[in-house]
Amino acid sequence: VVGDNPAFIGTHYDRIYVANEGENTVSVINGSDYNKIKDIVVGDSPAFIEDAPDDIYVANKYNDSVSVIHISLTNGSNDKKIKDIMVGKRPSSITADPGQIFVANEFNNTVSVINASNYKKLKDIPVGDGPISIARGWSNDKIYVANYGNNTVSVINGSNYNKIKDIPVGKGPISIAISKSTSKVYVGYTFESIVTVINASNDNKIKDIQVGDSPASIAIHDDNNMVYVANKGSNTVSVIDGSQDKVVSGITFNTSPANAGSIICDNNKEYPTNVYIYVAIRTICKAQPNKGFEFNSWTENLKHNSTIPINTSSVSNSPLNSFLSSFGIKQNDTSAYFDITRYGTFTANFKPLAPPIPAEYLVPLYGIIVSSIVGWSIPSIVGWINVRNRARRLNQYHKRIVSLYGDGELDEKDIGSLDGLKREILDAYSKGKLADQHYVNLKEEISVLYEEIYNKRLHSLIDISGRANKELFNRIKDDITDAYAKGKITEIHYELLTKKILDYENK
Amino acid sequence: MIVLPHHLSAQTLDTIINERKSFNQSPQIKVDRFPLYVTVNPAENKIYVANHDSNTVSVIDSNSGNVTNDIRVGTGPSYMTVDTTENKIYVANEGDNTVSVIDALTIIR
Repeated sequence: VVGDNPAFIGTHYDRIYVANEGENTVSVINGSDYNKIKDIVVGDSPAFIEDAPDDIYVANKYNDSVSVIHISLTNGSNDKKIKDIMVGKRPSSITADPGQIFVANEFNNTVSVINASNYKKLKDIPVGDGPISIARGWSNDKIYVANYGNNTVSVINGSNYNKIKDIPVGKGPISIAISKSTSKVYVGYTFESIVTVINASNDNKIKDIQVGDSPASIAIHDDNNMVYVANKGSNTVSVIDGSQDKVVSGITFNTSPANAGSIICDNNKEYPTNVYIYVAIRTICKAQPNKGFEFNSWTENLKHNSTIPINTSSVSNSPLNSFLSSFGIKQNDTSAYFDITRYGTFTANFKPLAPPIPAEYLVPLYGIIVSSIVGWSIPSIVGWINVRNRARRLNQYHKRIVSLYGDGELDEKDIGSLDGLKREILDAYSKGKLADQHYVNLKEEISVLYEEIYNKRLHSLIDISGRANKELFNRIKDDITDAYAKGKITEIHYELLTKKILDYENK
Repeated sequence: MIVLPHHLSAQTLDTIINERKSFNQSPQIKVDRFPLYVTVNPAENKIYVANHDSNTVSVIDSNSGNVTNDIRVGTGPSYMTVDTTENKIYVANEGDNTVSVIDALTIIR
């Protein structure tokens, strides 16, 4: 237990100094056994402490003074207040360097400069309205002040104590943090959901970064140039990469199967998989299949080993292209992109391509052309003809699927044709006339069409009102469940439709 | 959360674009109620967040971005300081007039 309403803490020589705003004291605590050594009486409502090598400076909110406590090198019981310096009204924040002490006076819109050796006030510098937070640049001799009242940041020359400029910022700037490694100035707010970045070399605003609500406290990790922002309005922390001043997401990328492809983001940079990395917001990432694979889907891994499909954009959006690509005819455009907007583990799923004509079949083919039939090659030729027939059949079905798009629209009328086509394909497959992979591909392509039709039916509900709407909705719902049960639509499309149904019900 | 078939009709493309526009939120790490103050412990690569209204300090691993601990402290944690030489974090609790001490290694209050 310390004094009343502890507001601020400093440390020195294994001692802890606590400003007790409610009872006008600073408690000195032993840092090893945590026993209180003493209470030092300071001014009215001490609310801010700034550490200096041999002193601590305490801002006393209600009696417009700064108390100087001299720190004893050896013994905390010898710590004592040596001076009260009168400053401006409502001192709110202090920053000090070996030569001077700068105090922001919230109520009379000034910054007081105090000589740090004789504690004499040198000057009151007029700044913006309601200066509430003050910070010193690390590499330049400049002081930055957040003016809560008129939404500006004042920049002060630390040598001649003149104001250099006022930078207009967002509403209610309340905190300032300056990066040691880049000298950039970050401004936090009460009434905004942004953090403002200022270039300290020309004191111009670089940008506003979208974070959570009321981002009042900012801390900078100088070793890795990361900026952490506590959003008190949304109970979150935002992480900003200081090198590009973008909010980042913690992401783990996976590929499935493990070596089927890679994740390419930004400008053709390959991103590591299976490790947690920070990725800047709005980074566009592409799943790039390796040879022999094609892209299938992106999924997000949730807790308890479940996954959900996520938004992706396909490069090619013509039905023909995607059909061709799914049969391995055109493999360049089968990757898909999505952009990073949240934390998570994301998996790019690939599937093996239908194999091209294997090399062993090319040998007998060569034989046919060049010489007469040689006995040993007959079984191979039979195998090859079989493969060729299957491929031809695949192509036939594929063309018929594409032809359903023929009249420019895909609607309920096409369900009958689809059902028929599906039966035929199943029949061909069960008679061995279709290869496993071909069958899977065709089933998926058909599912796409079913999905689109049901989707359209759901959309058309918008035009129907009242009881008819409800009845139709229930019928579509039943149809979808039925289609899934009969294997007409794949699980992924069923999930998608279920989601749509839920959305609709919520409306 | 929708997966799109390979063929994007113009309509679905519009839906996606609208969805993206409305999703203007930026990614964030969830902590406790009213995170009033954040500070960095460079020695341990850890971030500490004082959650004023839930009387906790969240510890975030700066490498992984995961909240590794929520430490119960006094009432109304409002300000913190990191003692890098002692590797300790001191938390001023304005609600019950105490200071909580967190050992950065053992994460014990």
